Amino acid sequence: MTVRELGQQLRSRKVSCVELIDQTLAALKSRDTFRSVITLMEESAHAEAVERDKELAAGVDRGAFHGIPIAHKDLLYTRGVLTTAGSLLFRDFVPTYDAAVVERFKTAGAICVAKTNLHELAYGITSGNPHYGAVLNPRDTTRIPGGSSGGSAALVAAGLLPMTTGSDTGGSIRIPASYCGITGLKPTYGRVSRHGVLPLAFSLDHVGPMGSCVEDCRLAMDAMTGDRFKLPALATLRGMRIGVPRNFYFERIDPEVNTAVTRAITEMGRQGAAVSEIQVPDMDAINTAALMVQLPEASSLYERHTDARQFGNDVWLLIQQGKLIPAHEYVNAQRLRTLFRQDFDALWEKIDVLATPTTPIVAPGVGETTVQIGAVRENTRMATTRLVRAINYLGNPALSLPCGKTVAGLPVGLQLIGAPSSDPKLLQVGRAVEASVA
Amino acid sequence: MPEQHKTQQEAERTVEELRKRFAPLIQRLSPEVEPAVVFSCGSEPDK
Repeated sequence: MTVRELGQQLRSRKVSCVELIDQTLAALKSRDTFRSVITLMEESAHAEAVERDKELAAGVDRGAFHGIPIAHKDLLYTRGVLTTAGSLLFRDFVPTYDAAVVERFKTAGAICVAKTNLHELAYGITSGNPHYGAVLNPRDTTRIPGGSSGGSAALVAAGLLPMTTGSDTGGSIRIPASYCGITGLKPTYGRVSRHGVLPLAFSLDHVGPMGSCVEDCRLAMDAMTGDRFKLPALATLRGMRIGVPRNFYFERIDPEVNTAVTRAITEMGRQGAAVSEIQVPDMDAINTAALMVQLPEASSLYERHTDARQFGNDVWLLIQQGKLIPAHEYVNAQRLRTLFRQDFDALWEKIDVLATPTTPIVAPGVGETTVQIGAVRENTRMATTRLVRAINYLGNPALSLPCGKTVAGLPVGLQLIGAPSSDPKLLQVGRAVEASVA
Repeated sequence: MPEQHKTQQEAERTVEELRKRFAPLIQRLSPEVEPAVVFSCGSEPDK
């Protein structure tokens, strides 16, 4: 059920906040076979539900999220509640304050019922966490959910929660959204507060919503940012200029992904959008520069930790890599960012939205370290991040929404990228097409 | 120890390849290009 549908049930007294929260907690305990949760917050959730019911009875309605169960990725600080970041380093860490996003959701009336499992330290795309269990994809449990916000995506995909939070440093909201068949928004850099969110790479980290539909993500952005996303629903896409990259994004992708994304773009044209092919900047170069920023920023956080046994092998390896990037090359990667942003900004004179696949493949199997795409065998992590990483470096908003399934029933993600600060418009376009492309 | 040595070698090999791909990109950088780190959009981005 969506946030709005659950809200209607609460307001019509078909169900109370306490009943909804207790049912949700019971379902999480009995049906989360995907290892999506690290900490259940039974007591606090129940107590908050009692308060939300009292408020409704007294005519106090906090809005769309009043009494709605949600979960936060376990790297958002929650006051008095264990926050592990999926790491042994933080296995006993109990923050003394709430992240700004956690606080804002509370103010909006949402009730956090769980902290979600993730790739260790948010540093990877499988969510195969060696310390808290490997998250599985509810669409097919032999496959990964993607990461790093894998638990958050799995809970929504399994229908256990309508809304969760994620963070995205190199695709960590959009990748699991694509692999699990849900909707996720990486907002414009800086649009959503990172205060109280354990960093991975300071200048690439974003926090955003993960839900079952675009409208729920819009409502979440209202809550997370303070009410700036109230744009009217579009009856058609007339006047909207959709760019389809003629280079990079459709090269080396699974044919079934190509078919689904192309069909979604055709649908946007059918709804009145002006669809045109467009040349995008050198995205391979931008991905390279983005890695030159991410690796040393992440390593700077963990340099003082020298015991490899505290880390999963993949994360330890990435931390070692970051220590090998010279300082002047890191600074040059940040200087190049200025130029690449100028290159990319030129697109927005010709188009409003760039439409691409989110990932070149559907969810890979658990333990699959390489994937075959056409004639090329590619590292799974590099393939998975290939179409999303650059947008963290550029800072633009990017929405991933389901746009169909493969013959085997695996979801395909459509990525819509917009100009800086065009998040509301991106959500408008996504909302207009989602029903006809899912 | 052998495992750590192997990890270090793998890290060095990967970074060497990355730096090779990165090297030609800096030809675009004239001295006046300054680092871009953050957008200024939205209120209280990090508070």
